[in-house]
Amino acid sequence: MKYVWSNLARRWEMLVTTLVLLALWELCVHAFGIRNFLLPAPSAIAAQFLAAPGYLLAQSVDTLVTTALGFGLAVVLGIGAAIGIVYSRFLDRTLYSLLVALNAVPKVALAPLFVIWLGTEAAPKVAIAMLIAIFPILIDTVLGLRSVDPDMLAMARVNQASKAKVLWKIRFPNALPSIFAGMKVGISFALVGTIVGEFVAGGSGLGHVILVAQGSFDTPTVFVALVLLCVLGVASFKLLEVIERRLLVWHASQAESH
Amino acid sequence: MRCLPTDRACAPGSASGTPGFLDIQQVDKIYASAQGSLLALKDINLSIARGEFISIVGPSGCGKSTLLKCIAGLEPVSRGRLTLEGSAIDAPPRDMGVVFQRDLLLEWRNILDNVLVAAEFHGMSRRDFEARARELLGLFGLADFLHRYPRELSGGMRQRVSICRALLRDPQLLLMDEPFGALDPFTRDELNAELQRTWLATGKTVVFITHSIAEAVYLGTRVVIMARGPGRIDQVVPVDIERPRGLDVRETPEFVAYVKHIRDRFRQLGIYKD
Repeated sequence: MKYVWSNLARRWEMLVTTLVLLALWELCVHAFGIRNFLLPAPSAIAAQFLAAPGYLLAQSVDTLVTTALGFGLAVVLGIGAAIGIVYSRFLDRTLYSLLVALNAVPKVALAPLFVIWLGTEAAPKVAIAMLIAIFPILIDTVLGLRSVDPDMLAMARVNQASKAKVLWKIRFPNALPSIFAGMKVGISFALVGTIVGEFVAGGSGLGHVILVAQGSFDTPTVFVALVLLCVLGVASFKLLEVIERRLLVWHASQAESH
Repeated sequence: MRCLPTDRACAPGSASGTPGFLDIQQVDKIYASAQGSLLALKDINLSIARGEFISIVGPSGCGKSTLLKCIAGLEPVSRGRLTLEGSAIDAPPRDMGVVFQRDLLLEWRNILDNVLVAAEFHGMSRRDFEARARELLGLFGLADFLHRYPRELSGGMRQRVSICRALLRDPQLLLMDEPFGALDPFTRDELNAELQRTWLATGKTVVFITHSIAEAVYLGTRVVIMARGPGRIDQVVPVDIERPRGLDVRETPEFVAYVKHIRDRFRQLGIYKD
């Protein structure tokens, strides 16, 4: 109960601060006569959204689906590859070293290549989102799977545990906090990848909306898209946090929130 | 007291000619590294009969944990033979439970599931062992904590859970590597008494490693004194004190005499410099 109250109080503070900042923004725009295409007032941004809410929400859903697909692929491939790397010295020396080198390349620069290879539909966008999101997930999963107490492995050995059982009953749960840390970075990266994909491949999504609006100096629409992106980013991150809290009730990092 | 330092009958490896339940014959353990090789154990001879409680006591670096790892099949020996019921130990034997210095509980599993993991690891059905797990946890006073998580338990309770895990499959051989070393003296006393009770009730063969001379004497049918540089058995002291031993036995003259004898031996070995 105490927790609920302090949480509400914190939200309240946050809401008030946001409203004050918005009011200041609105005031400045009118007081200094800033033109709409440079910096629209919050009221103008809201009006712009309300003029075509259906279209903007549909584009948001488009971006959300692309992000989710890219992120989902990154989770599956990243964790799969991490397991391979941890269990195979060969994959560790080849695949892992190669991926670490690839990680040094600004992956955004690869976006045009994906358009050449995969066309301008959803595929190149999903691929770019996946490519950017996979690295933090893979690297953190490898780290998590490796950081197992050697005595824990000895305990498993004296109990005749098979390799598969050691993986699923010790290494994997032990790595979960680390995997979630990677996924929380990964989900933000996936959204970045999706927007880059939409910039380059066009067609649909909030990235496309921004690009088109920019072409006609329709700054209020750009801001609407940014606000929607912000909502998407925060919502997907929070969703991961909720899942993490559910799964990791046992972990020390969750102790104070209970 | 039957055994004196000069008594040849007490010398290591002289127990008898008949093969024991657990036999350690002329075992050496050498760790090879880039800096050269380290002789961790030298010429270990010990024959342990079924149902014995062997306490191994010695200073840090005397190789007692290494010896336990060899018996557990976690480390190969460099020379000599290690046999359990006549067959060589080259991998962890099935009929064995091990309690480690740290409890090594899985934080994401509740207490009952932590005990049952021993069955799961062995590829056995949880259902077949659930009743036994509940019974064991009940015996160790944890009946009300079955669905709690390890982080909600004290150090003593956690180590009790790890003992239950080792006992789940009712193994004949129980190895314990300084299991109570990290506990406060009260909890340690309690667990010593509970362990003795369990041993008396089940007749398991126990190999118990400790830093504490009093704990070694209190629990052991024989106390193995180990010395270091290289790790070796210096002496084996049979403990002739009636069972069950209450905690107060530790203040009796005969108990004190055993402890003094062992401490004197460590003093002669240069472990104590008082």
